[in-house]
Amino acid sequence: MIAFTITEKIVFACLLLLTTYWVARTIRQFSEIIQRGKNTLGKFSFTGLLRVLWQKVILLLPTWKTRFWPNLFHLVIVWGFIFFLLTNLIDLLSVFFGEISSRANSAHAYPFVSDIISGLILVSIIFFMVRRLSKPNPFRFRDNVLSTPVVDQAILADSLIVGGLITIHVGSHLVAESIRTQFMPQSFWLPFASLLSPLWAQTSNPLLLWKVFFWISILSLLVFIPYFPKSKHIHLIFAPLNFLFRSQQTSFSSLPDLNLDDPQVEIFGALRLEDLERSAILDSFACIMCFRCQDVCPPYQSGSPLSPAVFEINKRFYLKENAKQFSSSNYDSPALTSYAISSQAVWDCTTCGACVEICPVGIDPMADILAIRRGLTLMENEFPKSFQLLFRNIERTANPWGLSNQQRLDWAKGLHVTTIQENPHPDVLWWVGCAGAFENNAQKASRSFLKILNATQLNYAVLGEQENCTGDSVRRAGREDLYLELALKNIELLNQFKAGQIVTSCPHCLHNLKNEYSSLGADFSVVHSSQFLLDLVQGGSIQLTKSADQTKISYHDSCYLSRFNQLTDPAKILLNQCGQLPTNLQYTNSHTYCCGAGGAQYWKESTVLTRPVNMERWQQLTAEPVSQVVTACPFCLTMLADAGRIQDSVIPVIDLCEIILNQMQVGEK
Amino acid sequence: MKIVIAVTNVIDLTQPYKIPIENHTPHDYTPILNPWDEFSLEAALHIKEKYSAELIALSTGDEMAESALRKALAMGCDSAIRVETGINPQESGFIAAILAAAIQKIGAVEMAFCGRQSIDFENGSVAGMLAQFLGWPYLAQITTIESLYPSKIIARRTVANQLYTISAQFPLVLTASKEFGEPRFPSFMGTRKAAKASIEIWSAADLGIERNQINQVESRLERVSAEPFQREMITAENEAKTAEILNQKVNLVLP
Repeated sequence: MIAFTITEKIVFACLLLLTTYWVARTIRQFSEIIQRGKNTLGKFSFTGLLRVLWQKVILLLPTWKTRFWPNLFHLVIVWGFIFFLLTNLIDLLSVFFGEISSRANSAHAYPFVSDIISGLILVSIIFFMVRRLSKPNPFRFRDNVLSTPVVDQAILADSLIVGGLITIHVGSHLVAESIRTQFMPQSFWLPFASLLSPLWAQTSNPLLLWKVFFWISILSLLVFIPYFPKSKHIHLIFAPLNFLFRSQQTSFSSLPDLNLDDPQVEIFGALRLEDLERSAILDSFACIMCFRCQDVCPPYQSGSPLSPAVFEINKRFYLKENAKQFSSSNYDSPALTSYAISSQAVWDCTTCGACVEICPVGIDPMADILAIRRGLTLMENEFPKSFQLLFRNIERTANPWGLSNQQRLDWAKGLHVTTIQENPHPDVLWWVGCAGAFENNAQKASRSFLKILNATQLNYAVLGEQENCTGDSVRRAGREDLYLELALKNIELLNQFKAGQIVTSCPHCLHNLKNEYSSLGADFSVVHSSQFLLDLVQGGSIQLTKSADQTKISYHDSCYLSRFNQLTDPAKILLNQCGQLPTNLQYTNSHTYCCGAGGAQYWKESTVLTRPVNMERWQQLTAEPVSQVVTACPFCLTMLADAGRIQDSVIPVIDLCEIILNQMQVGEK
Repeated sequence: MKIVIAVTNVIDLTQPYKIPIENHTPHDYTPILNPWDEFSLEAALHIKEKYSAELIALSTGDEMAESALRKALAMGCDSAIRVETGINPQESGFIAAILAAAIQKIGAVEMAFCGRQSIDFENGSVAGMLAQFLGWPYLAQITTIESLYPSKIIARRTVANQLYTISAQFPLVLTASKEFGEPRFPSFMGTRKAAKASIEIWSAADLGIERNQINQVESRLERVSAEPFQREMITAENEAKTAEILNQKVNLVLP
């Protein structure tokens, strides 16, 4: 029986108390730091906790989208860590109360399981160390990204320290167990411990040696705890918390509304860290610095100084260095654009949401970027110069093209179109959208959709001159005031007509009408044209014939359709029914790759990038020989058509509606 | 230093508008602040920032004119005055007389800026007439301010590729040219403040003017019908050929 001396017990108890005090202090500081953010976090719920523990902690579901092998080894470490919580508790109690023993069979299995897990953890740690130190590792970023000079080395040092501590903690525990087999043979085979145990065969005092390694294991944990909050490995606490306390979102990365009339509010949007949401500060503690978001960020891949990963890391490093000042409520931290993210990076974001989608710990860097855009635009009057025209056009003509609303139906010349004046109570209200009304490529799609509607003799109407921009681009450019003006006007207008259903071909209009307007009191049933067409096909109103052309096509998923609204199936089912064979794309469905237009980029004079986003996407879409590139968003349509033109490509870019029109026959119903 | 900037709304010519012959008052149009006034505002704001000055935006017209004043406030003017005369003046002499009377009432004004012309009726005569009414010197279309002394200004202007350095004693009337620099975009915070700012309203009587005192000139509008456009797409194998064909076509039309 192993017994500990009274001195050992007293010293250990003191260390435990000290650690507990340290932990309490750290928790208080973290909570003070998080509370400096704006608004409140989401509400705690017990079912939410269970869900987070099961999905995000035990199964690690959000991690599996990429990097299979590292995830597998990481899973071993997570499960090992959970098991070691038990091991450490048993070890800790054994110091004070002697060895815990049980006669249950499961208790006999404990040393076996412990041995296996220790071994697997050590193997995994070796894998991660090798990966981290190998040259082509994924944890690097380009020099044009704003960052604190030490970030690169600091991340490496942090990994090495934590890797080292885990190795010491688990390794010494394993060594201690292997020594113990010398004087307390186990009934179970211990594969890893028995590998080591021959080393101790000659030892004269195995008990002393066991104690040495036992204490190394326990004390390494006590060293780890105070270091822990400064390290990125605190994510094992903050990642679940981040999922648990995400402010309740009605849709994918929904933007918080601003009350611009509130005289109490002095700052709109965010200029400094404390202007961001509390969840944004929580985000920076949850970040595991895995750079997955950077890997999928279209502007970063195009050479922009925007790296969502480095932005989160910069926030984190700032908090690490300035925790004390920042936690006091009257401290003004420096401008975010001076250390966290360059203003070019802020304006390069295409708000495609890829970073939000991929993040395994539930971080939303895009929300922060949009908050900073609001701050820069509303408070500092700083934005890309080309946006002046966008803002002016929206102010004067309520559409980004700056054309008069009287020209809104010019695209339909020569075709019959029913306006809301002619049919004030339509079953279907077709929201054409500014692009569909004014932009050349999109007008073609509008004409196709109109022909389909006319052929099916549906009771529909368009708003015509009364339609305005939904405000998507100005909202994402930071002009919340213009957005609100448009949104409230549109809601009032749409409420007048009480259409059963609103259909639109523009995913940006869809997202605003359906999701973003809901916080302003709108409650519309909005569908995208792809859903609408699928309903017509399934309802038998139209039949599709299979195309004879067996060349493959590439279908480009629009971010605001597939990622923001999970609407990727309707288009694919329709294309399948048209006999169109799709290519295999790496970036597809909710994992799509932006065309480069989103987040008001369409209206921005493009910054010089090594390869523009639309060119990159064009490359992906046309890697295999294809007969055409198909999309279901007017902005994607133009961006991709432009890319094709620059490449002198003959591959046509067409809207889904055009394909359907070509392949359809009107059913008898 | 007190600077008055006379501003006005004009028709946004990029948008549809109607001007009936019988009653030449434009309607169904989108009003915008006269872009030439924006250049003068930018010049005045430049002086305010560099030398410090009090900027007063001044306009005459009905309530619709207030949007021009609010935009001037949003860009950075300190206060705004609207002169309500009961009629919407279109005629330069009438406008200049009202502005002159208002500037005299404001008092101790050292500079009065006007837009060089309006982009709709393009008369471009208010500034000169204002200088005449006030008896002040008039510096037209300045491009830069070289220096500003307590009692005089040295400015530059470019006319037909020639650079002039000109100076005048205060008080004076000025207009700024496009070369002065792109007018700033009004900030959201500025617009928000301007939306709440109160605009002082003066009547003609406040200025001691009676309508019949002013020499009213009846402005006339005539409809001039334009020849219908001739359109033709020229397609040739290269640019030189295109130019040749184009040259022939133009020579046919222009003797």
